[in-house]
Amino acid sequence: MEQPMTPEASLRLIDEMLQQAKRSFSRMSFYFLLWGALLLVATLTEYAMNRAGLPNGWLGWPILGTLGGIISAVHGSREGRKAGASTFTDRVFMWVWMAFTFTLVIIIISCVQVGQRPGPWVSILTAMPTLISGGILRFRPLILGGVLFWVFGLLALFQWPEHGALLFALALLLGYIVPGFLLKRQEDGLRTA
Amino acid sequence: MAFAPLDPVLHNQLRLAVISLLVAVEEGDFNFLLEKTGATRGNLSVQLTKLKEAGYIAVTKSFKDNYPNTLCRITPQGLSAFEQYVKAIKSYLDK
Repeated sequence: MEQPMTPEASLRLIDEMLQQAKRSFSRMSFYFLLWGALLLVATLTEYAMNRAGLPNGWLGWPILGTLGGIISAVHGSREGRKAGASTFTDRVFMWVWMAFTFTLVIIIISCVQVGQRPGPWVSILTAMPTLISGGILRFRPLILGGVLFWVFGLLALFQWPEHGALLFALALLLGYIVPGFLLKRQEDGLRTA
Repeated sequence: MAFAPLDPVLHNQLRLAVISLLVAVEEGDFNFLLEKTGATRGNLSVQLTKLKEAGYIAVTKSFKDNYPNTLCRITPQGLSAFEQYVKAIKSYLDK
């Protein structure tokens, strides 16, 4: 790397390095797929147990929520160590999702305390980080997913409270799992580009 | 019309590669820079010292998983020098 450089070679080198750095982005799709799947299982389990008249259907939420938290933390720390570089975007994601997680825990505990179903509120709250992530990544399916969490949350709250769990499950499928798969495909493409 | 002079600190392939990477990421460690530039450890180490002495990058030494870890980030001075450099090479190309 010690030959004299022409202006063209300099520009080419800068461009090449910027492209290299682009491939070092964090893989966000993992988290959308993980949380989408876990929350979907928790929602449908609770719905099915309630319909069958079985008690403690809500237990899936804290169990799967804790499991998701542990997997996310381990995966995040492992990926961080492997990457060797961090971007401003990584920092924004970390703070947004951390703030979301704490607010989520507070809302779930508060709802249980006052005897309200947390589902619709969780859906409405989930819209925010999903929409922010979609905006930062310029990824429309996630932006749309965020809007769907608002819509389905409001419908569950005011229109069809009896089907709130199914609405939330649908929001998870369309707002997390489908965009998660699409994002994964895009990330795989960028890594190999 | 005279050409803008090229900054001798940046007009070097490896130093320019490092600065370009650090413009894109907030901070990068030694192994990240090594992998992306394809340089040798010795050469990268020498060029990082030159960039640090010029005030273009800040270097923090710490430990990661019990191994020494050198973390680099671009300084405002380095960013401004990079912008000037890009402007200068563009002026060469526009002639």
